[in-house]
Amino acid sequence: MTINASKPTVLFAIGEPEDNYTDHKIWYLAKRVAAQLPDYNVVGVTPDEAIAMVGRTNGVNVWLVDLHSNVLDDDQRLLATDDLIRATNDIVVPGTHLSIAKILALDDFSGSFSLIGAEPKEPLQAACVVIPMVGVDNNTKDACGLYGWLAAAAAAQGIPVVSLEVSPLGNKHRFSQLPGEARALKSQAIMRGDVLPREEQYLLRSSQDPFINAYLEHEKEMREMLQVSPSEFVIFIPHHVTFLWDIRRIIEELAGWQNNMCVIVRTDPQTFRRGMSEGQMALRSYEEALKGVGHGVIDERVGVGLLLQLADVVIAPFASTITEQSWLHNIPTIICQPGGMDKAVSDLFIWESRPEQVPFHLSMWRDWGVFQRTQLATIIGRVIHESAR
Amino acid sequence: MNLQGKKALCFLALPHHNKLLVPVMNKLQDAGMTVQYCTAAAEAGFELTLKEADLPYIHALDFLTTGTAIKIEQAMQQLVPRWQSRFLHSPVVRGVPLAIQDKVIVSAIENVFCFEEMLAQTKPDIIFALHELNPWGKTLGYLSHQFEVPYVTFQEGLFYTSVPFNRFHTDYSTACVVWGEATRQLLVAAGCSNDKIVGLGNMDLAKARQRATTPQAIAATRADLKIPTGNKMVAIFPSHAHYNPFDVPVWTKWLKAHPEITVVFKWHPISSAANIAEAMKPIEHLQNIRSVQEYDTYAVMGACDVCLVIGATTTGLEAVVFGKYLIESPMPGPRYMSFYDEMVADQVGGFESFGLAIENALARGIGPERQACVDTYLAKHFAFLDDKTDDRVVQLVNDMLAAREPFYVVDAPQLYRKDYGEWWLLARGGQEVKEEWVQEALRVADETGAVILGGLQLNSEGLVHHQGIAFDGNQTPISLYRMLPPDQPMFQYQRKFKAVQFPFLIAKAVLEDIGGFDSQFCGRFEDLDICLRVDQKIVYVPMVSCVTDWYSQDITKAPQFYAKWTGHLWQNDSQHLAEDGLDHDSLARLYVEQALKVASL
Repeated sequence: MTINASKPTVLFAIGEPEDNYTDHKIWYLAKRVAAQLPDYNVVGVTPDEAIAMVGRTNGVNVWLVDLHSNVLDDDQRLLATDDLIRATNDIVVPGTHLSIAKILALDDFSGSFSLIGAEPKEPLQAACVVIPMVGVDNNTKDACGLYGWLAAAAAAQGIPVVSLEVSPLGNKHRFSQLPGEARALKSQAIMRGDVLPREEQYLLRSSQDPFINAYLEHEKEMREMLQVSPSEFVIFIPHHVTFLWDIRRIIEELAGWQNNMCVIVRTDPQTFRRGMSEGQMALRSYEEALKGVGHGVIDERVGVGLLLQLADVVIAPFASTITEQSWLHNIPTIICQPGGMDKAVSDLFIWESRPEQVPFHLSMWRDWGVFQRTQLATIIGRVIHESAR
Repeated sequence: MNLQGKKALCFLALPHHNKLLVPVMNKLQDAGMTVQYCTAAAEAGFELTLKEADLPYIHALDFLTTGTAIKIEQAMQQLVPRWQSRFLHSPVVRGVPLAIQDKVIVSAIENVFCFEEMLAQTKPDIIFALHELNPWGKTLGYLSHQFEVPYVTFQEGLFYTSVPFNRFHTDYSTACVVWGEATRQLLVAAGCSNDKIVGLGNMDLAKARQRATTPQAIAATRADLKIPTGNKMVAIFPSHAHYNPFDVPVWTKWLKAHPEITVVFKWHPISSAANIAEAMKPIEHLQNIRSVQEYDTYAVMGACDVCLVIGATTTGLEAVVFGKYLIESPMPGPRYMSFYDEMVADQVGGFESFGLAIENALARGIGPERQACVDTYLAKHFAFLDDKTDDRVVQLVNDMLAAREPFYVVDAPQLYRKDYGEWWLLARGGQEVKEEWVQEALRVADETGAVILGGLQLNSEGLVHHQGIAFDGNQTPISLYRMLPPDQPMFQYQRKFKAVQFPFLIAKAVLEDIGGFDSQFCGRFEDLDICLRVDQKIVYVPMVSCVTDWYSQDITKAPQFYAKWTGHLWQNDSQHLAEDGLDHDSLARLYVEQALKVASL
């Protein structure tokens, strides 16, 4: 493991369940965080050699910890049971005077001491620790040992913890969701916290998506090509020459909606009318209107699949394969088709016939927090900064 | 017997528990009781037990009402941060994987409130479960006290763990029905309450022996297992723990050389199929080998000529009951039980020594010396070895329920009574109470309004015999601080107790109000029963009242006493200790100090 001793370290815990669940994609998230936090060593931590190999193959520094626990003999098991009863006998089932230890010590607990003595003794050297929240149906003894040890050591040493949602939340089993200074979530449907950007949520899901994989691979060069910074709010408008007037009206209504917007109109390089390419027609039609939105881009180079992943919202004058993809990827979408229908298909998918109503829907989503996304690296940076104060 | 109209709630979990509980429930039903079976959620699929036995039942989660769900959620909101904090700060708590803790604690919380709702709705008169070492049994036990309903538990098998693991069998049981004296001694040594242990024999073993050893039963089993006519049958019962490897050439060679002996491996129900397959691979091709798991253990035992047990298992005791020649092959590690040490079995090492041991057993048979040891062993382990244990349990139930409808009498001729105007002095025969103490107690009564007053009783060695009654972790009355020297600070001040032993002063009006004495208690429990019924100010007067060595462990009426007072004997010894700046650990150290002082004299 190559560590720059002059830089503080962020530990990123990854156990076998999370590696399997995300089909190894969680390592890409660790790598992404490492790239976004150049002032830190970002180190994956795992007790599993095979998982460590996956991490290293993905270009992540990995610390392989030994969480070996000896098998207890009867006397040791008895002592451990006694210790556990003493450590917890004051904790009763609320509303009763029946202690948890009385119910569970001699059966479930006594028979499950598989992590006694497993924890490394040396203190953690870390500015922050990222720890997945354990899933009740997706866990291993070693992963539980890793996360429990890191959480306890961090608590003892005052190291901030970012709890990471990997296995879905919402079950009645909440003891595994250990407290941290921040929670990095895939949604706020179950608990409050920072919601990760879509692409980072994807890295914590169990599916493979060729569009998002391509986006992650090409995001940097795409942004350079389009001159779009990560801090800009991207509105993607798929284009067709049938809807020139509609698109102009949409762009006009977007003027001044908020600062730091970038409106990207994607034209087809194969389409020509009256001797002009679609892009030239768009430029002539919307040049003035695009000035009103601050940063406007007409592009025909980047594929629609990739552009879609870049978008914070899609405003389309027509339903198409693009809007079907935005629906599947849960990207907020307005199909604004004057003379068409008005319908809220879901919270995030709306048909609106009046262009002047587009800012209203955008503002509503903004107020709901739909667009509030925080990269994991940003969350980590924030908790480190707050912890240092 | 009058069980008509009474209701029993019986918790069932695993199939092998049925043989211990269902026969009793059937007899209770025959006697006119209504029996309701219940179960709860578990990864072992407890519902399957009842479905397969075709027993109607209710489930704990059937009582997950809106109100119950609210209680559970409120409990979780308080408990989650508290437990998480303990987890983060305690390495031993982290010794159990967090995901396991999560599942079992959530299940425990649900069970507490769902069982509570179940009891509130079903209103049983008595509750049964196999034992209170598992979460369901413990929770039901606690709630039995909350609802003041007697709770009966049983012995499941031999206790072959280290003694302290058996500490918690009588926390809440009103009566813990065990097979015999050996179990009583083991449980008492572990810290269980002697009062609550009732030796009534084994529910099923005698019947199983009768059933499985008839010539027809033996023939049927041998035919089913395809034992060749004339062959000797050796049954090998491995425990569910790890075992020595089977692939031992000496053993396989012996098996091949003895086609006249058929060896039947009978596996524990919870042994894994993968382990069994692995173990049997080297020998499964041999003609004189059989391997069964889901098969009636007693049928195999009844039909065999010799039994061989590997590791600690109740099956060894059962083989002795069945009159079979027993060979024991111990597992590595500490042994808390040994048939060989009890002289009812031969001992062998690993598989390499099995052949010779089997040959010797078949040649020798059970001689008179071995039989004498077997008789002693069985007498120690079984209070009764017949098919009447379920009847005895029914009688116990009857006695316990009858005790809750007591008959009071004005006189108790077994007690000494002296008139002090508005007060009675009550004592046991032979207890001479000091007059100066009586006068002081009367003065204290005037001052405090106490209605029962006890004093400091010393034994003939000059140590404290009794100060007051506290209730311990078994919800059992104990004489607090017995055997400590009387100059200790805790004896020097006036204090309140929930109960005191004779001799004590009691206001005449109060004794009359409560109807006098419970006629069922004679020679023990009268004093406790009076104090609990009075339930008013009971004060200890810090002066020596008498010198007495009176002590009784007579448990004849213990089930009745505990059945009557279920739910009124909550542990309170910690509070008394705290009043004296002590806890259980420091009290233990105090006793050790005193013992060392005495030893050094």
